[in-house]
Amino acid sequence: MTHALAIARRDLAERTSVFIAAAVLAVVPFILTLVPGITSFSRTDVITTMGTLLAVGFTLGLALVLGVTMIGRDLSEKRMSFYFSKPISASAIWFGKLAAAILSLAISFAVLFVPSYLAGSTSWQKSWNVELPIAFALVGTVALALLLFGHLFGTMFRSKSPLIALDVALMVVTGLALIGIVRPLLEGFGLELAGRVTFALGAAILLILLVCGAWQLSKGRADRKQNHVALSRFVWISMAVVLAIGGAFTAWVVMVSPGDLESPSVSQPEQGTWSFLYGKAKNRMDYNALFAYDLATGDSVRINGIRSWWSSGFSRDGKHVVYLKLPNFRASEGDLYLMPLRAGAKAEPLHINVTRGGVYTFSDDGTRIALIDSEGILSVHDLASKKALVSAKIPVKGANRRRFFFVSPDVVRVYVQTPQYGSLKLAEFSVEIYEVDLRTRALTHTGTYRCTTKNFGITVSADGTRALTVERDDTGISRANVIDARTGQLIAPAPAATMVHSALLANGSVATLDQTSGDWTLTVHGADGSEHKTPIGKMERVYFVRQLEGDRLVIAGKGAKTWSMIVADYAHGSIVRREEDAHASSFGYEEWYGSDPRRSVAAADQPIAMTDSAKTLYAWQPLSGAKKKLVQF
Amino acid sequence: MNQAETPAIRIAGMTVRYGRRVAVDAASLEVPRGSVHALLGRNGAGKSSLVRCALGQQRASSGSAEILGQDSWKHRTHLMERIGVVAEEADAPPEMRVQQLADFNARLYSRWDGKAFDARLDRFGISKQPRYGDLSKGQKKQVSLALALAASPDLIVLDDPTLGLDVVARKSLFEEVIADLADRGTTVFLTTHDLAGVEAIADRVAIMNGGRIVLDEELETLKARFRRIRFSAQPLALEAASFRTALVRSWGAGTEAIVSNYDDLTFERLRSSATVQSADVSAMSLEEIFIAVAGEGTKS
Repeated sequence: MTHALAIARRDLAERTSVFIAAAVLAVVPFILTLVPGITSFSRTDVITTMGTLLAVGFTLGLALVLGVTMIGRDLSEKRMSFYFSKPISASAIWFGKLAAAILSLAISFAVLFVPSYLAGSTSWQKSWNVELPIAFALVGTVALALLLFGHLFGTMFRSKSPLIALDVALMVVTGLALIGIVRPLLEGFGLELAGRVTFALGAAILLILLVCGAWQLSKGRADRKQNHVALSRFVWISMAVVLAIGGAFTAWVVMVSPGDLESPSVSQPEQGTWSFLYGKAKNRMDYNALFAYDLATGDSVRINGIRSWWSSGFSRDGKHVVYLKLPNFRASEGDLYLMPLRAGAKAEPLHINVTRGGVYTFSDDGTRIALIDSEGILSVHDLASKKALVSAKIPVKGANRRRFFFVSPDVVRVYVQTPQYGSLKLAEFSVEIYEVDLRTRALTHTGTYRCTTKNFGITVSADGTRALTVERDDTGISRANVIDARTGQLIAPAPAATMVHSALLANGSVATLDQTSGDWTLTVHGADGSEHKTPIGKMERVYFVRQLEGDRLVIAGKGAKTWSMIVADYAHGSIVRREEDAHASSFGYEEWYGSDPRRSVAAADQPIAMTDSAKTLYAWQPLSGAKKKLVQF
Repeated sequence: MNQAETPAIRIAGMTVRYGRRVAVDAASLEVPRGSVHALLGRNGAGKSSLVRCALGQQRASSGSAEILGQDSWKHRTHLMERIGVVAEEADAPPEMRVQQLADFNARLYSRWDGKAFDARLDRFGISKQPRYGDLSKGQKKQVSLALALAASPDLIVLDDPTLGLDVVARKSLFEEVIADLADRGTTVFLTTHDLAGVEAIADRVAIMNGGRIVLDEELETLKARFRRIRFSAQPLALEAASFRTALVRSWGAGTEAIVSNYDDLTFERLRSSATVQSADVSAMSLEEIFIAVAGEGTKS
C-alpha cells in the first residue's frame, strides 16, 4: 500500500503540467463571453455549456492518453526495470499508477468543471437536464472505460508482436459473443433483463481490465512482449469465463418451456386445437416467450421474434399461423413467416416485408393471405408461389380500425373506421366498406356505415352477408345494429338499450348480455322478432366466449372472487353447465377482436383453454365438461 | 548449506529465447558471497538478458535463478530490498529531478542512507536539482549508482556500469566504489566491457559467448592457466605435449598458440621435444584472454 502510494504520488507529481493546462482551459469559457457575437447569448449559459464541454472533452481525451501511456510507455521505452529493480510488487506498480491516473482525471475534471458550474448552477441544470451525480457517474464510467481500454490497446499494440492479430480476432469473437448473449434476451423483449445483463457484462469487463494490469506486470514484468502475452492470456481467459457464464445465463433464460410462463395469456382461434401461449417467463424479469401450443396433446413449438398475438393471424381452420418476425426489438418492420400448427413444425419465411402494426387474414381455403400494413396498403399473396397477387391503397385518412376477410378466394372485403373530419360533430365516425377483386384488380367502395362512437366493433356472419355492429359509449352501454355486410345499410335496429355485450349467431340471431341491478340475462333476438331469455345470475362481469353446436353459448362470468364458465342452452333458456373457478384464457367471441370479423360455430371436439385460480391451464370440453390438466404455471 | 555458504547468485541451466533466437543457452553460474564477479562478453552475448532474468525482471524460458538463496522470480519484491541495481540503459523517469528520485527511493528502502547518497553525489559533482533526463549519459550512470548504493544493499548488480563514463569516472568507479564495496563484504556482480578496469578488482570472471557461459572461475586461476606460447614447430607439437588450445595461428616460420591448461612441466616437455628448436611463454592480460576465448575465430 505504501509503495502503491509512493508510485501514485510520483505519477501525480509528473502531471503538474496537465493540471496547469486544465486550469488555463477553465478560464476559456469566461473569456468567450467577451467575444463579440457570443455576447448575445446568456453569459451563464455560455460559461456552463462551454465549461462542461471542455471538462468532459478534456477528461475523456486525457483518460485515453493516460490509458495508452501509463504502463505502455514505460514498457516500450524500457523503463519498467526502474520499478522492478526496487522492492515494489507488480500490483503496487499497477494500482499506484491506476490510482494516480484516476486521480489525475478527477482533478482535471474538477478544475475545468467547478468554476463554470459555480458561475451558473441553475443554468447548468436547465441546459443539461440531468442530475449532477448521474452526470458525474456517467463521465466517470466512460473515462474509466477509456483509461482501461487505452491501457489494453496500448500494451497490445506497443508490443509490436504478431500476437496482435490473435487479439484482434478474439476481440471480434468477444464482440459477437456479447451480441449473442444480449440479443436473444431482446428477442424475448426482455429490455430490462437485457439492460441488466449488459450492465453486468460491462462491469465484469471493467473488473477484468481493472485487475489485468496487476496480473500483466506480475507475469510480464519489465519485458514488453511478455507483458503482452500475460495481458492477453489473462484478458481472454477471464473474458471467456465471463462470456461462458453470460452464455449459460442466456441459455437458461431462453430455454423456457410453457410451464415456465408466469400468468400467460392464450390466443386461441375458433377452430383447431392449437393456440398461442405467451407471457413473461418466471424468474426472468421482463423476458417474454411465445409458444404455439396444442391443447389436445400438450405439444408446443417455441416461436422467437414476436411478443404476442398482436402480430399474428390464424388460418380459418386453425391449422396455420402467420406472424411477423422482427429482426430486432427496435425494428419497425420484418418478415412474415408461415407456420403449420403441428408438433415439430418449422416456420417458413414468406419473403413479405411487413411494417409493425400490420394485420393479416387467410382465405378460407388457406391458399392466400391478405394483409394491411400500417400505411393502409392492402396486399394479397399466394402462399404456394409466395407472389403478390394484388396491392391497393385503402383511401382513408386517420383510420383507426381495420377488419377484413376473404368473401371468396378472389374477393377481399375491408371495413375501415375513420373519423369524419368534415363533420361538425367531433364524435362522428364512419365505417367505409371496400372490396378488392383479385380478378379485375379493382378496389371498389361498396358502402358506408355511420357510427357515433370511436368504440366500434363489427362481426360478420359466416356467409358474409350480414353484420352486427356494436357502438359502446363512455357509460359502457352498447348499441347494436344488424346491417348489410356489403353496403352498410341498416337491416334491424338495436335490440336492447341495456345491452353490454352482443354476438351475431350463425342462424342470423343476435345474442345480447344485459344487466339489471347486477343480474345478467342472456337474450337471443331471432331474425323473426322472437326473444329467448336465459338468466345468468349475479356477476360482476360477463362476456361471450364461443358459440357451440346445439344452440349453446359459452359465457365467461366473474363472480365476487373467481371466474366461472357457463354453458347456456339459449333455445330452452337454461344453464346446462357451470364450471366454477375457471376462466377462458383467450379473448372472446365478441366484436372487437381479430382481423377477420366473421364468427362461426365451434366444432364439437374444440377445447377451450382455461385457467383456474391455482394458475393451472386446462383444455376444457364445454359440451361434455371434460377437463384435461395441461400446465401448472 | 548455511546462509553464508549460499552463493549470492546461483543460475542453473538458464535459457532465454526471443522467438527462435536463443539469447542465453543453458547458462549456469555461481557468484559467491562477498566476491566481485565480472561477467564478460561481446555485445549480444546475452549478458543483459541473463542479468534481467537473474533479477526476476524477466522470465527465463527455462532454468532457474536464485539470489541470496531465494528464487528471484518468486521473491523478487522481498529480495530487492537487499539488492542495488544499475541497469544497462538509464531507466529512471526522465522528468524526475535527482532529489525526487532520492525521495522516491527513500520511501521504498528500509535501509536507505540519505547522507551516503548526498556524499556520493558530491563526489561525483552532480547537483540534485536537474531532471534525470537532462543529465549526461555518464551522470545518469553515476546517479543510478548512487541510488543503488544508498539502499545499503548486500548485493549490487551493475549492468555495464562504465558505459558512457569518462576515463576518470571509470577509474573512480572501479578503484574506489567497487573496491570499497568489496572491502565491506558487499557482493558485486557486474557485466562490463572495461576489461582493464575489472582486472584489478574482480575475484572471479565469467565469459559469455553466443549465449553460453564458456568460462567461470577465479581470475587468478584463469590468468594462471592461460598462456601465449610461441615455438618453432608445427601446431602438432602442442597436442603431443597435451596442451589445450584456445587459439592457434602461424607465427613467422613457427606457431603462436594460446593454451588454456598451462603448467611449467608441460611447457618444458614441449620445449624439449625433438621438433621444437625454441619456445617461449608469456602471461596474458584479461583482455587478451577474453579475445582468445570470445573473439572471432576462437574455439568457444
